Amino acid sequence: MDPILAEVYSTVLPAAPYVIGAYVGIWVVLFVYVMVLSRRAKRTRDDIDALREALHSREDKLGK
Amino acid sequence: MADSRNRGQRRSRRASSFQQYKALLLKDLRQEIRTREMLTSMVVYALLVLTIYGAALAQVGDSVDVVALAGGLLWALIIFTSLLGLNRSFSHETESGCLEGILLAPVDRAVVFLAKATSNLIFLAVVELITVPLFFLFFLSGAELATTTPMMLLPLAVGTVGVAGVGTLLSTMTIDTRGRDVLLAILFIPVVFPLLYACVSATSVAFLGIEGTFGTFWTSLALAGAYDVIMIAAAWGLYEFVVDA
Amino acid sequence: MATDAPARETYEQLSVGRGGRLERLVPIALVLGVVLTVIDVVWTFTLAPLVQGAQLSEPVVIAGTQVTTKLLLSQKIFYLHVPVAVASFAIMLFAAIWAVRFLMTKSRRFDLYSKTSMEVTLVFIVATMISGDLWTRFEWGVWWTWEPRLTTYFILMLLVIGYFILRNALDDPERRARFSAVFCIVAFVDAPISFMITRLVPSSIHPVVFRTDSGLPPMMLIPFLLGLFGMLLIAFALTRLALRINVDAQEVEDLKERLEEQDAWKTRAAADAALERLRADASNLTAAAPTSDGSASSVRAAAASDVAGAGGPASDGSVDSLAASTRDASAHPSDLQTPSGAAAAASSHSHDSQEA
Repeated sequence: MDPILAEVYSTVLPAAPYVIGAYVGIWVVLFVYVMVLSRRAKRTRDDIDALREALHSREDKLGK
Repeated sequence: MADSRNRGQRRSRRASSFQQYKALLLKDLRQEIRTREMLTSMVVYALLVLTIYGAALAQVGDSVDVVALAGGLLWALIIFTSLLGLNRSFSHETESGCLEGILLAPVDRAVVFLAKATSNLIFLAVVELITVPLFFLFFLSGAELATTTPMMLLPLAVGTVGVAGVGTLLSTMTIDTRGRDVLLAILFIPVVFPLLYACVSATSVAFLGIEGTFGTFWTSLALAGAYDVIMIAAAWGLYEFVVDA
Repeated sequence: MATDAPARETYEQLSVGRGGRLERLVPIALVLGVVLTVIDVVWTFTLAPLVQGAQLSEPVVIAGTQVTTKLLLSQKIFYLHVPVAVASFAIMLFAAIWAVRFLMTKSRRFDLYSKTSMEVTLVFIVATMISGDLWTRFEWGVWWTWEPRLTTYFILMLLVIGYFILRNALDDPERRARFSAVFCIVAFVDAPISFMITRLVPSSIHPVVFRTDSGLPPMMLIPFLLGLFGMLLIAFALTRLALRINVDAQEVEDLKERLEEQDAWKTRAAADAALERLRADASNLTAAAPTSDGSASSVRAAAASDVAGAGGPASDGSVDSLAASTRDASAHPSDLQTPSGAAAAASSHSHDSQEA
């Protein structure tokens, strides 16, 4: 490769891991948060099911 | 709406507000003069921090220009000491149930804040009156001081006012929490950081006394002053939400 | 009971936040935001020119244009880093606004809103820190430096973390909401400082982006603006999503608490009823005592019925009889040894209680 061209692009290749890391890092952080949210939503759904069951059993008891 | 009502209330009994302020302030001062609990612990703590500085700087000898570091060291000392004092400033109140008593009385919350902030300011000033000369004695007695060194009193005053104002709000918030000592540090240090930064910069300029750097001194001082005004206004306005039981 | 009314009011207020017009915009905002950011990323790596760095030893012509400086790839981080940072400031602004509204209305909904936006703020701050730090590492050669912008942003992160530590340290929900709202407002003061610091402090070496004469060529400005709007839309959608999930979680939590409270009431009522029934049984047994053959066990049953009777809503007479019967029992401990003595004691005993 032409030495001048090599000089022109001298910082491009070493910088690539950092640039990729930065882009990936941002999206990883956002996705981790989305995962946390979805887990919280799932727990809430489970809680709602448990509440519904509790309500049903209570109604059954009242019916007896 | 609530604000205007408050202001109206304040105006209608301005004289009595001032008397309340004086009474609350005198109560704090009298209590401190009687027990000397807070001042003693703060001064001793400051001495201990100075001792730690001594250990930290013991090995560098003459290779480090202490004057260049002095601004930062001095402010670290002030922040740590005031943290201790602020933690203690409400301990009488919670131990004796005094704060509840004050809050039951028809006293404007802003007056309570001002009285508490003033007493904290006075205690801090007294401690600084003792520790700052000691700091000079221990670390700067051999150094050549610039002629502008006395100007460090300006950032010292501005910084102490801000520390007392913000610290009063935050220490009121943390009195009843779990692990309040640590929590106050966690909240106080980041909040007060911009002030600390500006004050360190102004103090360092005053210590070094290099020609042509005084633009930075006044900029930093203006920033610190603006921080004081904004933060104390915010703390004043928000205080009623912090003590409303 | 008086404390129950405002709580119920808040449930209704909490559910008002759902199903609004904003809620329907969330999926659209999310999709649009992702599309815009993807365009930004693609544009960044294809069409946007590389930024010029240090001077070359001699100029060179590449693809018909003269190049006199080194080309910098690391600057590409800027196209996503700055939008994320701006988004973090924007969400924190909303957190502070909601904190103010909470203090004005004392409605728990706004506390939850403020807390949720602080959560999203923390996520965006962490994302900004990671991308910014990688740039710092490459461009300035250090992992961290106490440069004003970095420092104030770091402090912002500490403040948001402190906010959550404060929330955890307070147990009473009402006080927690008030204190954290106050701290949120105080903490927000650092956000404009961090945003402005690169302009205020001349020694700052952090690049300044937002200015009228930024001089970004259109090929760089357009992807940046696309990324900015995309990230703001993503932040908006993420906040609304988190809000909905947190509001639901909070509501379920409250419902569980109320159910448990009700259960506690019910078990207490059931225990009271059972005790009442036991007393009734015991008094029946006492009435049946004289017909039995007067063994030691019936003495105990009688004594037990006296005790139970004394505990209940009985007349003073039964208390007297209890006192008498216990005196009896302690006065003649030896009687219990022989069946005849025990029978005598039992008969005298049941007479006592019948008289009472």
